[in-house]
Formats: sequence, C-alpha cells, structure tokens
Amino acid sequence: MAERKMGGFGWSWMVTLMLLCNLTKFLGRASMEVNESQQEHPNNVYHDIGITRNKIVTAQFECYQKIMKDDTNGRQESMCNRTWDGWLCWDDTEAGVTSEQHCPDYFQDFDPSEMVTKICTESGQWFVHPFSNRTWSNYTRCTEHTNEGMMTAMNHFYLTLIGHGLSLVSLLISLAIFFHFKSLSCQRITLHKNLFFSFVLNSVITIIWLTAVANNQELLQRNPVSCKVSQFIHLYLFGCNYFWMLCEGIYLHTLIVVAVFAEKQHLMWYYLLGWGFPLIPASIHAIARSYYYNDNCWISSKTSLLYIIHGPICAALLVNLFFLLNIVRVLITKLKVTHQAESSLYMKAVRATLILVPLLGIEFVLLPYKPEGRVSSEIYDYLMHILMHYQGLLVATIFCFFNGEVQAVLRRHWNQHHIQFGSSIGNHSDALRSASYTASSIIEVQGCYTIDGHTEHMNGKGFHDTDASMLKSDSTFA
Amino acid sequence: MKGAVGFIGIFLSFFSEVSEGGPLSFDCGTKYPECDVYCSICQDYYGNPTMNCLSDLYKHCLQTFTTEMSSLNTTDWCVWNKVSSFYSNFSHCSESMADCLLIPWPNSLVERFFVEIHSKFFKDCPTEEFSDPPPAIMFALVITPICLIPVMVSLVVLKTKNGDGNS
Repeated sequence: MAERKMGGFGWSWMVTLMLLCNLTKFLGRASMEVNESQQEHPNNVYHDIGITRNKIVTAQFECYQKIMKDDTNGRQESMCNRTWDGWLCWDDTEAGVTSEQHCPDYFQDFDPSEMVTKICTESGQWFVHPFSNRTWSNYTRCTEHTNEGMMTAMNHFYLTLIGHGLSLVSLLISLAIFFHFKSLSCQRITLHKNLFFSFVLNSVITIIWLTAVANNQELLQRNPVSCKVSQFIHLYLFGCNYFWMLCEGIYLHTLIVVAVFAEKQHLMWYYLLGWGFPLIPASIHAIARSYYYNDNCWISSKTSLLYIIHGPICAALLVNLFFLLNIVRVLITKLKVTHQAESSLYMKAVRATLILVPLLGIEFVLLPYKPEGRVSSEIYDYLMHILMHYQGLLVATIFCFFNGEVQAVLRRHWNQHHIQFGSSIGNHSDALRSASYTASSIIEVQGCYTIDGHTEHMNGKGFHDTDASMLKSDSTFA
Repeated sequence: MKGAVGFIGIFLSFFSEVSEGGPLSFDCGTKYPECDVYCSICQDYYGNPTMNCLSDLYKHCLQTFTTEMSSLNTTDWCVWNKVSSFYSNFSHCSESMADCLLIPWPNSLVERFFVEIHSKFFKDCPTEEFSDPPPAIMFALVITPICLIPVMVSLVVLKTKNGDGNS
C-alpha cells in the first residue's frame, strides 16, 4: 500500500519533471536571462570610448550587411523596412506592430535586460516623433531603472562570489575531514570526495570565469582562444557535478537493489561516468559552437546550443530520481518485514541523496517561470542565484556536516582530545560519556555500508559479525 | 568617379576660402569645428542645407573611404580588424556632416550610401551574425548525449554488479 502510494507520487513527480525538461525553449530563454545578470556586473565600466564606438560600428556593419542582402520576396505591401537607427538594427516589421528588442550594452547606464521599442505605424512607416520630427526608437526604458538595476546587479555579483566562496570553504573543510579521518574511508565516501572535488573545481572555475572573463570587456573584445577553453572547462565541470550525483545514485541503487553481495564495486566505471562522460556534451557543444555560433568567448547564452549541456543534465537528474525512488520502494518493503535498524541506515543515505536531487535540479524546473512584475522578478532572481551558487555549501552540509558517521567521528575525536588534555581534572563522568559516544559512533560507522578496511579501525570482531548478519538479512529480501 | 574627384577639388578649395562666405541664411550645427565649412558649401551651391547638398558632401567621405580601401588587398576587405577603422571614419564623416546641417542621422540617404559601399566592398563577406544550426541538426546534437546516458548507466550497473571483493 505504502509502496504503491510512493510509486504513484514518484511517477507524477517524474512526469512533471520530464515535461519541464522537454520545454527546452523556456530553458534557453531563462538561461539567457541568467547569463545577462552575469554580464551586468558593476565593474563593467565602459569608460573606454573606443570599446563602445567599436561595438556600435560593428553592429552597424552587420546591420547594413543585412540591409544590403534585402530580399523583397515574401514581403507584404505595408511593411516597415529593416533599418539601422544608430544603435540597433531593426528587422522588417509588419504595419501596426511594435517591434521590441533588448537594450544594447554599449553604455554603462544601459540595462541590457530592459527593452527598446520601435513602432511600425499602420501606414507601414516607422514612427516619427512629433516633437523632433524624426524617426524614433524608444530607448527611455534602458536607463529608467539603471540605479536600482546596478544595485541589484552588484548584489547578485557579490551574492554569487560569496556563495562560491562559502561553498569552497565548506567543501574544503569536508574534504579535509574525509581525508583526515581514515575510519571514514569507504567507497561511498570516495564517491563523496569525488563529488565534492567536482564542486570545488566548479566553484573555482566559476569565480575565475566571473572575475577574469565575463567581467573583462577588453578580453571579450580580443577574444583569445584561452577564454573559449575556460568556457569549455566551465561547462564540463558544470556537467561533472550532476554526473557525480548520478554516480551516487547508481552506487546506492547497485548496493541496495541490484546486488547486495557486491561488497566492493569497481569504482573505475564510476570515474568514467563522473569525470569522463561530461566531456561528451561539452565537446559536442564546443564543436557545434565553433561551427555555428562562434561568438566572442562563447559567452552568449542566447543560443539553443546550450541545450547540449543542459539536456543531459536534466536526463541525469531524471535517471537519478528514478533510481532513488526505486531504492525507497525496496527499502520500504524491507522495513515492513524486518526490524528497522539496519534499513534505516541506508534510509539516511537515500534521504540525503533524495533531498539533493530536487535541490540541485530545481533551478532547471524553476527557470521557465520568471515572473513579470518588477519586485517578484527580483525575488526570483535572488532565489535563483542562491539556488545556483550555494549548491556546494548545500552539498557539503547535507553529505558531510549532517552525516551521522561524520558527526560521530568528530564527536569521538573531540572527546578523545578532551580526555587527553582534560584528564588532569579527572572528570569521570566526562570519560564515561565519551566512552558511550565511542560505542554509539562505532555503530554509526557501519552506515558506510561496506565491510572493507574500516572494520579494522573498530577494534572489534563482534562488529564484523553484526555487519555480516546485516548483509544476510538484506539478502533475503533483495 | 571623375565627377566626385572634381567635386573634391571644389570642396578642398572651399576649405581655404571659408572666411569669404557670407552670413548663413540657416541654422548651422556647432558640434564640430568643420561645420562652418559644410554649411557655407551648402549655402553657396544649393542655398539651403538640402539632402542634395548632403549627398554631394558624402561623396567626399566616400572618396576617402574608397582610397583607404584600395590601399588594402582585396582579400583583406572582409577582415573586420583591418577595415573597421576606415569604416568607422566613414561612418563618423557621414554623421558629422549630417549633424552640421542639422539633418537627422541615420536617414535614407545615409542608408543608400552605406548599402552602396557594402555592395561594392563587402558583398561576398561571410555574415558574422550568429545563428543556430537547423532544427534537425540541433535535435541530433542534443539527443546524442542524452541517448548515451542510459547506455552508460547500464554499463556502470552491469560492470559493477559482478564486482568481486578482491579488487
């Protein structure tokens, strides 16, 4: 009963997710917005008139190239002809339609997320301003909210940097814990280490990308190969995060559902999936980008070629979700038959991973729904930034700091430390308490789900037996 | 072309004789120092700052641009880094003249001149505008790695399923 309920819930969830993933059109639009918020950093100072001038002249050249290749076939009678208004290029527009495009980024006080409008009148002529008596495009919105826009952009920039900084610190602390306490080392922790490492690398490359490339107009103009390479690495590491999540899911699934006897799995295949596979979409993207949409530093996110990166990530999250729901199904079956203690250990790990899948993937689900209003869209922006850039912190917290084994080991270590230096006081109750902690922590260490090396650290054969019996009981219900 | 050269001759001679021009009968822009020159040319030849006058003035810009472009190999005409400064000069030339005569820039005349130089020099240049691949290719590119995921996942599951404790 419970199982069926769970399954039904899971399926509706998966179907929703799948539907959302299919709406790649929206994804692209939203990711464009994300990139734009990245581009409007406060330090994008266009004091250099040369760069502004160069941008305008380049746009003008492109525009007149387009006007020159004017093809009149298929055009209706009453249409406003494509034109260059001095800043932006306007396509042929039907009479009575108001054409819209984003504000240009030529000037510091122009907000590229705002829109410029140009009216094509009913007679098929571009709107002429009654005062100046010249054709006129409405650029007023570009500077309307510049100050607030700059504030928001600045906040987002610092929010992003702080997020990645905090993530880096917490991830490095976690990695240090994992490497320092050998008693923690088991395959699942090895997978954690890899996941954390991919997050560390992702944070580092994002900080580099934001501060050194996206923020550097001069570099963007120069367009060296190195900035395209760093964008490639950026997208590759972005993929690695999600594929290591998938590895965690597969590992648990294999351990619990597929083969309970597999005490030790070949991690080589996980490395191949986690570090190797993301190379495929990243390479396809790079090749396609250099053929079709070879913009400066590949910084634009207005191309749908980015689905090559986002598609597999969505798919990986869906596959992971499927695995995790399957694990939950199996565990619930077990829980109903056997006493709870053993399975609940697995349950903890599954819960941690299950929490993370929607948390890591929710940005892709939320992306299409940017609200229209100014305040609500600002709240949305903040939410997205927090979701996207504080993931490392989130992962370190859930997988390391909230992890029972880690907490137990740390507590034990702290108590040992305390005994060593506090023995002179001779507080017996303290020593007793630490002893009980030690015992409880040893039991929790079993949560590592393998009976490899770390049993030696437990100084007790009895625990080995417990492990074996646990596995036996598992096998009967697998 | 000959006419243009002849015109430039007159034009240049006016540079030296600008002080002799009488008071202007129309408003003249003051944004650029050479505005007086342009305005007096229009005053003397057309009486007013008309589009025809602007058109003649533009022939001067065009002449400069053509000379600059002919200093390049024709193979370099599509290399934006090499032509951008000439192009920018031409654009500035046309804009400043229009500003001096208080005619809005860009206008249909400007457009005609630009289309002319584009057809003459940049007709066969590959368009720099970025575009996505056609939908069929796009679909193939996106779906390929997605299809590889189940393959990869089942490979990992199958290969690790029979893992032995000795490894």
